[in-house]
Amino acid sequence: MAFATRAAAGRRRPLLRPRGDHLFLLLILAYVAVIGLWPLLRLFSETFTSVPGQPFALLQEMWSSHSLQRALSNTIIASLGATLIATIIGTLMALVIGLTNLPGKSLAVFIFLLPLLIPPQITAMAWTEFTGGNSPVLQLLNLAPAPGSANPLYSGYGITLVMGIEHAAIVFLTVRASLYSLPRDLIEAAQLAGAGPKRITRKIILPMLQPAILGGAALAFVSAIGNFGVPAILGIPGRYPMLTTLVYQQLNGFGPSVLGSVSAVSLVLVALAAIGLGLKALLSTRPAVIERGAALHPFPLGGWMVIVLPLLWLWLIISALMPLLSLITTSFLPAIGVPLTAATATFDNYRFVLLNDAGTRRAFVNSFALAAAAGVLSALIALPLGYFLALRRSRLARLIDLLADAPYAVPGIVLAIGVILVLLPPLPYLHVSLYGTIWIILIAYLARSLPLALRPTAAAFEQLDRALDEAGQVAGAGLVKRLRRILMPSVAPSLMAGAILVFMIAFTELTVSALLWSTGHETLGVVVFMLHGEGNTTAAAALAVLMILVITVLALVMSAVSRWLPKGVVPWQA
Amino acid sequence: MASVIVTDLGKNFGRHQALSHISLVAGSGEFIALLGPSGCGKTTLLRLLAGFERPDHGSIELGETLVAGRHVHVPPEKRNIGMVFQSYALWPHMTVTENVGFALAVRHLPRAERRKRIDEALELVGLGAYAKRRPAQLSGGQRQRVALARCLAMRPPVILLDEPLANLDAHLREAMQQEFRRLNRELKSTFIYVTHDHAEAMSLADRVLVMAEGRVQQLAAPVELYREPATRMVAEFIGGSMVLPARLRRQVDEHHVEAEVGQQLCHLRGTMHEGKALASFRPKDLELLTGTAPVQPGTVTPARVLDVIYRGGSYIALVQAEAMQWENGDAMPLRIATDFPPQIGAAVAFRIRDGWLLPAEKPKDMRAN
Repeated sequence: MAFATRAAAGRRRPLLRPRGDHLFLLLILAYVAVIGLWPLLRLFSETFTSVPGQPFALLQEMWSSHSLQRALSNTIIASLGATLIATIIGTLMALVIGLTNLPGKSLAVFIFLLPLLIPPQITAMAWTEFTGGNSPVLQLLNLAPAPGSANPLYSGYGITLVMGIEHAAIVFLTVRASLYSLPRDLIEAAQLAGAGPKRITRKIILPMLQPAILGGAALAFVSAIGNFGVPAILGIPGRYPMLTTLVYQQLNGFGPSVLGSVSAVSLVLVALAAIGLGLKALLSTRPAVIERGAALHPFPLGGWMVIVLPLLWLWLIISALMPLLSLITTSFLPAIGVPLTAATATFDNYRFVLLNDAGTRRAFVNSFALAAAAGVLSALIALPLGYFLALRRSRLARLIDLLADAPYAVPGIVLAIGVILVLLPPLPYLHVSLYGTIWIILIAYLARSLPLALRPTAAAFEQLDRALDEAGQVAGAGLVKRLRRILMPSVAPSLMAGAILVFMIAFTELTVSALLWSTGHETLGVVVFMLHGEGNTTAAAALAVLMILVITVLALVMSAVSRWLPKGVVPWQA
Repeated sequence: MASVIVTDLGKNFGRHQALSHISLVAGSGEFIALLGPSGCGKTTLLRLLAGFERPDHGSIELGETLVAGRHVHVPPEKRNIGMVFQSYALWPHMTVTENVGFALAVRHLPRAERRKRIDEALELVGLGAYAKRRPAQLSGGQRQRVALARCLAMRPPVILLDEPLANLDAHLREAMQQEFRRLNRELKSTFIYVTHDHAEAMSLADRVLVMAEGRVQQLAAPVELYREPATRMVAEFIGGSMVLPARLRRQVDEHHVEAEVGQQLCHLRGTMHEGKALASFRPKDLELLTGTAPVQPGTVTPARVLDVIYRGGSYIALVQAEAMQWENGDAMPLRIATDFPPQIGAAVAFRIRDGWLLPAEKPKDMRAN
């Protein structure tokens, strides 16, 4: 019998089985490989083969370049600083929200997580409006810096601070997820042992959260490395180049001729991101099961309430609401420098971006179409992929999932360069280049959005009774029919949530389209950036406010349907 | 005519042997229960029959068709079998009618024929009035009936049922058991019914396949299973027999053996065999003697009462005979049915009235996979 067992164990299950179902997965694999992996692989080949016979020539050249060294050290220093800020703020917030009986948690969390909804360049713009000499808010408080003096945020410190506050949301989400998955009886056992809330937090909860805190910090670091919006708004005028802005400025200034050298810079970015993600994999273990019922009993704050509650809201007002308010006030100004009063307030900026400016109107259409297409197509692919991944536990699907993460995990600017490398030469057989068309943006969006659409869908399939699908099989329905008639209706809310998430990100995104746009094919992110760069700050602010409005409406739609979604799909729910 | 033929089926999950050397021939219209403790492989066998898993060894034929075997795998959607799931697996976004009619729509049946079959199936399970409801608006028992109707509307030659009554309360369970019997008789479909409840298996099935650790223990009609268990596992698992060691003396007649059990000689049903002899007894096979009436030595075994449990109408006395223990020193407490409860701690005796000599244990199967 032992012999039989060993013989059977030695026969591994083949990865592929010649079944109709697998055709589906192979098609998805081909899709992921073409739109996501090929661009990334081209980066490597471009870097190592563009100087014939000298594979490392480009890297050596870049390495000895003064501008790269400066951008690299700037990137590392600002990212580490931002990570430290994000980790402290995010962890504190998670503890306050997760452990205490503070009132009004939902609203506080929503405000705290606004940076997840608002793209970095708009956050950075809001901050410059808040701290600048013309800051309507600071002027009201008589705290504004002298007119004409440089905005203090146009510096490495400014970048570090804004990125730190922005990425605190990432740390918060990781720590909170881990906090919710802590077994309640561990805390109750400590309570029975006579430990008070402070001791329990220090001796039991924080040590158990340590992997999540470190993992969240690693993610915040990766986000900081790849952040383009904040260094673009703050670092370009502040002459504080980072790797992402270096790539942008070189490609913008010299065109496709520098593709080889920016590929080399991209590889440095990829390496930094890989270090961060590797650290995360090493440091953090995934929270086992996140159950709704497992939430801890909050510790009553008692007398501390009068200190903690005002402090929390003071922070939320300063860090989130004030910049937003400054952005909104700026959007109603006739010109920068004019104080906002009932008499001066004007809708001209809104009229300009909505009606008068053809470029902005086009960008609305472009961004809407691109985001909608990316959302719908990604959801359509996430449906079968999520099914094979979570319900059928297919190993091939797991491989595809892993591969699909790559274009999402690398900084957006890196993917954009890869996509240019692939699509600049004319397509085989068709003899047209997609460079300079809107399609190149769509392809990059698709590559980056599949993981976003897949997460909620896979989570929904994870919770689905497998027998629902099997009953369909027994009834004689093939895969396509089951996907359409049984599986799609069963996971529809999550599928929609995934599509909306993709839409929200793509509608406002700048990092990818900054390199891929062309005249007639601008995105909203690009137009805001350009308006701001041209000094038309008031119009930029108006457009940014409109974008935030659209995203907020979508966020509210998602909150409204969140009770039909697996927990964690809507991150801003307390 | 056979409708399900399973030949030498084997299935491994990693290193775990979930099934090995399972063979079964089910006649058309037969009601077969797959019975065993959880983890015995009965659900795996059902999933192999349905086609959700592929066997590593052996073959499955449904009707005249080979559906699983070397290089052959007919997917579930092509097997034309019905299945009732433990969770019912009703599609929540469809009404009762849509649930029941789904398989018919997949088969492109004309609308009128579909309508007729749906009505018929709902009528069969007594849910005609609920056609427009959704699963969430039904009680547990009603959902169970919809699941059954969904399966019946296909008119499959074979119906697989995976612990279909596990989620119902005892009262409903009994009513549904009668339904299953009736439908099996009326529809002439073969029923393969997985359960871990031996009472359910015995009262429903024409034959019961008892499984343990992925192997067949016994395939027999309920009466035979009850009276003549093939293995110690069957004896203990079905109806809770006690298994005691016996020393065999001689074959008395064609069906009986004289044996020494405890300190007494008795007659056991069965045939002499070599090797370790074990006999199975039910609590009512033993007679508890509490009086002081003189008894012939060698016809009873003295014992002491450890506990007395009231079991609806009569008592079960838990007794321990000093002379009886396993080779490893483990105590061998006996359960004896009695109408009059003895004192706990009292010295008593018992007499063996009936018993079944378990057949010689077959050597473990040595065939390679």
